[in-house]
Amino acid sequence: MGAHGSRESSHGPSGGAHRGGGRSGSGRPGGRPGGGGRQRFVFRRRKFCKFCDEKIEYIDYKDVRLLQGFIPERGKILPRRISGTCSKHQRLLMRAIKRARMIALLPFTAE
Amino acid sequence: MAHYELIWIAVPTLPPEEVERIGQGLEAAIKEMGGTLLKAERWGKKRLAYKVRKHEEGYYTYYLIEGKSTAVDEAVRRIRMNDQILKFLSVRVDLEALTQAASRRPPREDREPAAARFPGEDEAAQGGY
Repeated sequence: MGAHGSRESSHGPSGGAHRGGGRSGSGRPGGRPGGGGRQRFVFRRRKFCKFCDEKIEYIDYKDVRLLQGFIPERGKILPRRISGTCSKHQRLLMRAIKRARMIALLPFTAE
Repeated sequence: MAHYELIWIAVPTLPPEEVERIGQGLEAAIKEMGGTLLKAERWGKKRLAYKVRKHEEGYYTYYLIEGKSTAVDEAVRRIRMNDQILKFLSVRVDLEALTQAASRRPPREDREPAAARFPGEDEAAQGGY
């Protein structure tokens, strides 16, 4: 919607603590692999995490080229099950993308 | 000592001297508060990913600062007061992680490192960003 004014940019530790939100894991009802009541635990995504592979510790929000690979057409962030990223790096990736959006290096939404 | 990155974007319609002037004011403020500018880069006019105050481009400047948070706070305070700055972002960074990330990436040719502007103060000529 409206563009963000400079008043709303963030300032503060990048520890990530303040970004806690209701990100739940695989606790969603229904749709679980292996059926409803079964005990089976299926790790469907065998794809590797590019960041784990390269042993990357920090994802720079300024690296637009890298980040662009994770936001297709509509500008939305790719979910893990599509990009194959591991949870830790997905979090770092999200943080980087959101920061890049804040300074207009990446779009929030693309028409 | 903590390290921070500060990026600010100025209105593209300003003449370069004006942007320069703003920059100097901020840089002076940082030094006054005991901060050190490890890097100062002028990214110049870049296309924005979305319109900000009707502008489609912006003049980006990047700083890598070493110092206490008060230095950054002061710069941010001045940035907020300046209506010609459209956006800014200050981030606390871990230097090791940052240099690791930067070295992994091939250096960009179009960045203009402003090391020449700080003959005495510029501590680190850290590998091309």
